[in-house]
Amino acid sequence: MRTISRTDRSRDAVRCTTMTESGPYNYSYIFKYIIIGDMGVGKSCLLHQFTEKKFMSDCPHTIGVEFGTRIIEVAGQKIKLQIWDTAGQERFRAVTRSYYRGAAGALMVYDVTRRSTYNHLSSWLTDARNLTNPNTVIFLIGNKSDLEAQREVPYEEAKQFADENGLMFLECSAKTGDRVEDAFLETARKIYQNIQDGNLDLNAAESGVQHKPQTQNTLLGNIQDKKESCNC
Amino acid sequence: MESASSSSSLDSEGNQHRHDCGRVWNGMSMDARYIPALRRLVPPDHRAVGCVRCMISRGRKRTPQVCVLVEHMQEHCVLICAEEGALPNATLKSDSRFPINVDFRIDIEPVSTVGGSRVITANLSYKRKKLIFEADYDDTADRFVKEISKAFENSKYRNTPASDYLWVEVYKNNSKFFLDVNPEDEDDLGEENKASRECMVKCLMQEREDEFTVLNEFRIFTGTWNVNGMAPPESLSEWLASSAPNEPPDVYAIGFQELDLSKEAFVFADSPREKEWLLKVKESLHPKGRYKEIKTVRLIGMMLSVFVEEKHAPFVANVDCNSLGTGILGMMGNKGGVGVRLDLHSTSICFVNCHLAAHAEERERRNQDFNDIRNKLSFNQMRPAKSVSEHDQIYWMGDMNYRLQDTTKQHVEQACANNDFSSLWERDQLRDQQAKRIIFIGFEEGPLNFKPTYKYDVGTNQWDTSEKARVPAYCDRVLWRGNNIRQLCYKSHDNFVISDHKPVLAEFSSGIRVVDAVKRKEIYQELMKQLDKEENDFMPQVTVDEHYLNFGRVHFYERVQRSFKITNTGPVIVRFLFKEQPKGRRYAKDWLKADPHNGTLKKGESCDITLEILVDPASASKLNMGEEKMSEVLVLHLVDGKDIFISVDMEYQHSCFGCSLEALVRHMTPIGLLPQETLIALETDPVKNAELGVPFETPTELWIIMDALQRKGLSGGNIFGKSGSQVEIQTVREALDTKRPDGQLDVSVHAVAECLLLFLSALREPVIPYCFFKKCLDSSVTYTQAKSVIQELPKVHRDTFRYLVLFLQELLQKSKRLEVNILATIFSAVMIRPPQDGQMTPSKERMRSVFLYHFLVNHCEV
Ligand SMILES: Nc1nc2c(ncn2[C@@H]2O[C@H](COP(=O)(O)OP(=O)(O)OP(=O)(O)O)[C@@H](O)[C@H]2O)c(=O)[nH]1
Ligand SMILES: [Mg+2]
Repeated sequence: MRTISRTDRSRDAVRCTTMTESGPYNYSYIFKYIIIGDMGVGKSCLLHQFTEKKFMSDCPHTIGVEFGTRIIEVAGQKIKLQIWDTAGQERFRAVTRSYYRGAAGALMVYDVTRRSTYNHLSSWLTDARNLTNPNTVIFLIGNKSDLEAQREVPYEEAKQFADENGLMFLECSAKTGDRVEDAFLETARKIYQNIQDGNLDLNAAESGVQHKPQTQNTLLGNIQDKKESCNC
Repeated sequence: MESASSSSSLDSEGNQHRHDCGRVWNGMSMDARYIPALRRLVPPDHRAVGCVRCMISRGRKRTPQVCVLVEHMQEHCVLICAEEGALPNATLKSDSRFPINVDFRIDIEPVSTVGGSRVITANLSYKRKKLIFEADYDDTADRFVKEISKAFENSKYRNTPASDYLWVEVYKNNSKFFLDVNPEDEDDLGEENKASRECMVKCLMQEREDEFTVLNEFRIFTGTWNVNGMAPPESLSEWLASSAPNEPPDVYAIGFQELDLSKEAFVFADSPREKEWLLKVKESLHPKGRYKEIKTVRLIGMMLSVFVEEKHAPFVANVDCNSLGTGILGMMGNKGGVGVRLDLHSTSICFVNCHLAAHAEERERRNQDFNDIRNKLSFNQMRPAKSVSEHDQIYWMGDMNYRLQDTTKQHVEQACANNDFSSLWERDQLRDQQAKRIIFIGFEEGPLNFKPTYKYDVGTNQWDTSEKARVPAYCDRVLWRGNNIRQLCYKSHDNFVISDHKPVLAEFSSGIRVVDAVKRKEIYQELMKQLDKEENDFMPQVTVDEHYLNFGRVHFYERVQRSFKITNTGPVIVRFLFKEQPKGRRYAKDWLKADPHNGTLKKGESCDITLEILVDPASASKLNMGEEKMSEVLVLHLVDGKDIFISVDMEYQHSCFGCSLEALVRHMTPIGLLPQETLIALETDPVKNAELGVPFETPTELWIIMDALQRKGLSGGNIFGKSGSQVEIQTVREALDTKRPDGQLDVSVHAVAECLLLFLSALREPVIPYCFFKKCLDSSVTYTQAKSVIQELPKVHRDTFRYLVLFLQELLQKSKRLEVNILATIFSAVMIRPPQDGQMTPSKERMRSVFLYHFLVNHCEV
């Protein structure tokens, strides 16, 4: 029924590259993240800050979907994050929707200095809820916390919105790097915890998580299914 | 291993290949079967010098690979490639590269015979990367290895400084670079990536081993003695504890030969002599050291024991031993070798003790024995098994039995009296054979500054006084191979008189790699960071000069093109393609086409991509009705990288092409002049929104077409034989959309005829409506049945059908050149169309043609 383009499969393969025998190089999981939110809220800057520890002051609009990866450690487990940064422009909304599927984490970003980006959150949240699986961890991020003088959205207000909708939340700055790591790492911890608690069916195509036992060279679960998880 | 065929004549297959490729030299060192693959692998400014299929052993891994020698500006590099797919269409992907410069080494071994076939072996190394190359011996393989050797020799005599070998980088990811764009072959790419990432971490850690290991000097003591089957003397201390009093060796490896000459030793595994000697050895080790026995291995008379100081024992791992008899049937262990291997910290060490064939004239046998041990002695508990040569350090001792040739006992005695040992070395068979590269290739030996150790009268220090009066010889030797080994001393001990041999010892100061765990972790983490960064940095990158293409106003059947430029601005070669839309849809709506829709870009290269819009009859009706959006976002995908969105906008000018008969007969205003909303309303409910109370019988547009055809004349041959030009078609379309009635259409009859077909096939509902399609085919058997279907059609459809049939009959009369069944086939295809999801088959096509045929050949009665 679904056709997956070959290219996605090869990208998928990169996603399960791991060492077979030399333990320390291994990572046991791959988590797929998506970053969503209005244009200009700083999604690409957040990704860049997380992968490169640098700030891009004049970052062009993303017209497409970009990728970043980084290996992190949670509870002694090496986890490879595969992060998809989407275009925020309204006209691409229909196209970017096809990238949600199979995400283990969704970082939903607004700009604390622009209320309109906060007001649109409910529509982003609807998409995130409808297009991912029930266990996808949705993390609300108020970006540009360095611009305190221009703030339009108080912390408490967003915090309340997050609580009401059961979202994790923090404010950070892609410019200073403040709390950026936390946003990505806390999401991973939460996903990992879901796995530990047995809430996440790793065999399900949509889980957005690939597990790789240290001793084996095969992925847990149906590879064919996983391959689909990255596409539409 | 499949044998590499000797080179055959070069074929020209590669020439028709689309990619530029390197010059492939049809030399004798080239397995010609790989020429097509090489053309894809090697870029145009490089040259493939040679290529053979071989077995490559890397550490524990042994895999079949293809080895390629490439040249660029007089610099060479050996590529180790994986072969994918079957010959002759195989693809080569280089998974490691050995630039031939100062860091490169090649060590060619003598041709050996394995299982009946001859094998050529060479050890290659580049910095800390090492591998063993083996190929079936033939002219190609031989020349190939010689070419590498030659390139290596030449690299030492360059008159220009060596480059940084950046040119080799191009092979790093060639799996993607020069791969023919054949999506079917792509399935294994994932595996490839997996392997290369795995390799990369391993290699990178290995390459930086210097940074997290320190070379610690270890004293390694080796001793060898042919004891002639005797019981041990009182003490061996003079031999074994002869090192400096405060410098106990860290490692001992002591080899004996003829430890037990009793018949029982041949029959029973147990030997009382072994225990006696072992005990004596342990008592006699350096008194300042506490030693742990790591391993003792014995094959009848040959015994090898390895001890390490207790403090080092925790750092000894993977201990294994084995023996190999070269005597009768390879079983009787009177001659042969025993070996012990171990990893000390992270240096692998192999000790071998051997006893080679005796007698001066048996030189060839000794050579044979040595090479047998070297090739066949393996440590099988290791996974996979490890051979002697696969060790960082090899210490080889034993009674080698090589003699002094072309000399006399008197001369030897004379030389020894004068301490002129070097005059004896020239006559030493072992040195001679080693220099001829028959044995001990790559091994070193210190100067023999002691007297020959054989053959003495037992109980004395006198050389053989028997009748035979044998010429003394350096039978007992120690040689080594490996880096960071310095010999401290090499001597014999005269005071032991129980045997006809004297014991020999060689002590070494050897650099052993000791891992600094903290450093290692640091470097590992640094490496992971670097890999993350590289993975991000090495993602394909492109820029496009236009993300948004506006086509403006587009008409029915009008071809409009816009282009944009895509440039590879990243560090790697890029493959791009337009990604399919979700749910398996094509990459864009049917009216949009990209050319090329996939491709490959080298670094810095750019290419123009043309997008073309053509609204054909299939899409016309949907666009007329606004049922399909006139914009599209194409997803330009970079393989292993990001997606780029290309937005396309157009404004479609609705047209009478794509309307329904019901709507067309109920309006007066030309369709092109109607606002789109009015047209949509008219189409949605033709009766209610009609402009005309009493509709035309048939669409005016159709009438205009027929009229034009009549004027231009139907008699001139096949009017459907040619198609009209773009401009002509647009002229006709314009006339119809604005209903300029008897305007003298300045176009060919063919253009008008084509428009007739376009008009009929664009109709929102065909002349025979979709719901009658099946009935129509079922009734194609007889004219009577066919007629009854037509009677059931809605009035406009029936009227239009009759109108067309009459026209076609007239056409058939006037144009003698048109055949009725051809006409029936052409027109049935546009008038009798299957519903959206209906599949056409040849038999259905025949049936609908027959259906119309009845009406063309009979008097029209509908
Ligand atoms: N002061 C400040 N500026 C930021 C911060 N994050 C991003 N910016 C700026 O905001 C602008 C937009 O950032 P991007 O990362 O391109 O925004 P985006 O969400 O990726 O936008 P689209 O790609 O169009 O969806 C850039 O000019 C950044 O320099 C931040 O934390 N503080
Ligand atoms: Mg962006």
